[in-house]
Amino acid sequence: MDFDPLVAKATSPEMAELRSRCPVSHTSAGRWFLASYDAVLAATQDVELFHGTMREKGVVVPAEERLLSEIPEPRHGQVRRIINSAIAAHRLRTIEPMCRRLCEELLDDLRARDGVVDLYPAYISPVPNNVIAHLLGAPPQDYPLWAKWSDEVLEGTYPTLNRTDRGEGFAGAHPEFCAYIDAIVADRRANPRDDFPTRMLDRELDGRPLTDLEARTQLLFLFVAGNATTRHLFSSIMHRLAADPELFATLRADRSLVPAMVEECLRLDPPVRVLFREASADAEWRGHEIAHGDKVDFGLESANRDEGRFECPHDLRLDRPEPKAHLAFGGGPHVCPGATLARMEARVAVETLLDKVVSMHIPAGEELEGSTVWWIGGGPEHLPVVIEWATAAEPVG
Amino acid sequence: MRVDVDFDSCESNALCAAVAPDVFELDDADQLHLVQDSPPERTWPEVEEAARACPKRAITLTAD
Ligand code: HEM
Ligand code: SF4
Repeated sequence: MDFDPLVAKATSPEMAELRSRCPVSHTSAGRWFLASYDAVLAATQDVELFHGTMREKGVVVPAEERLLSEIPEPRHGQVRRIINSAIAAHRLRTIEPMCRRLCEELLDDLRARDGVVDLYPAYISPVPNNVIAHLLGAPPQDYPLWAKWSDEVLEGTYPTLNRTDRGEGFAGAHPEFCAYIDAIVADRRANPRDDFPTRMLDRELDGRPLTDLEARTQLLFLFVAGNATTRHLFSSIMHRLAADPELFATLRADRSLVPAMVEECLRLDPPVRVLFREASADAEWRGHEIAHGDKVDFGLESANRDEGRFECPHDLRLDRPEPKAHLAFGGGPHVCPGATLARMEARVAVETLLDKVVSMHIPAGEELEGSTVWWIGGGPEHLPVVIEWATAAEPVG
Repeated sequence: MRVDVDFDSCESNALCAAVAPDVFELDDADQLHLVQDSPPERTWPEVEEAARACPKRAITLTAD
């Protein structure tokens, strides 16, 4: 039988069966797949056995060019400390007002237009892009450049092969993006200022600062990691709101439900559907013989719909007792360091929308499609809507 | 309840502070501080959630 859990829908009876009877399975594609909440959570915590990597077998990446998700402990934790100094909760106080202003401006621009508008390029996509660029010290007018480049990285073969048709390593695979990031690094070495790239270059690790190559690698990863992910979360939320007028009205009447809405969309439509790992040794794990070098895929989407963990897992419920229990951000030492940032951005984008919009709907006959990158989930990549705007005088909920 | 943090393994991701800001706080140098190490009972559910949220398992809770 060639049933492949990487392809099957998390809502299918086959996947429900897999979660309950066979949470650790060896698939027809010759890889391991973890389907249940319990197995996925435990495996994210076992960083000794399961090493993060999207690279295909045999692809060797030089140490300085390893993405944060690929660096083994204990160095991983030390590099993360530096990354956290850009995006952890206590650094976000000034980012929230910036993000809210941006959302307001984008919606005001949209309001000037008549008829059907596509929320995806006009609202969903610019927010995460601009917030990250702001954190990483890239000027806002360069938006079209890095937005395009960071998508090219995800859609290309650099994450899996460490090369593209154009050449080897990041420098060969994406030369323009690489030169752009190198220029940020060179500028902050020459003109330090009070921002994240400068702080990152200042910090010492094992008695020395990061090399230019290490700094480039981590900046590149940050540019890419928080972009398509956050965007697909936004589009899941906006899509569900546009498709369900009652849900829209409920949230508009009670803003305190917005965080729960964000968590349910993360759970039901996780922007990262699967995490990729490789076994670092021969091991017996939960009764299975896993061999050194075996590929092991963690089914985040499947875990989030585990009948054993979530009551009526396929329903969107704004009153779940543990709204953040889902695994959309992974778990364990590699748990997404951008989670607080992404949650804040999503909350602000929805709040601003609810302030300015009374209702919106998707015109009949629209075919909405998600990402062409198979492991990316979340919502569709275009979202045409007809909007009924709030009048300035109308009090909002 | 007593709260202890293993500052050597803490990586300053502020996940604890996001859940229980009255007990955990990070400063501008990204150093974690315990605002109080015997927090009042009303904060215990948050403190327990913070301990679970810590990816480094750096937070230990003990009954007095
Ligand atoms: C809704 C939005 C997001 C989702 C669903 C998401 C999801 C994830 C997931 C599932 C992981 C993998 C954890 C693992 O390998 O175990 C991860 C890692 C990571 N994410 Fe996010 N992410 C989001 C937004 C962001 C943002 C906004 C940033 C930064 C600006 C970011 C930066 C990172 C980094 C640096 C890692 C690597 C962490 C490590 O390996 O230690 N993410 N994210
Ligand atoms: S959650 Fe853990 S690692 Fe993060 S700041 Fe708190 S104690 Fe440190």
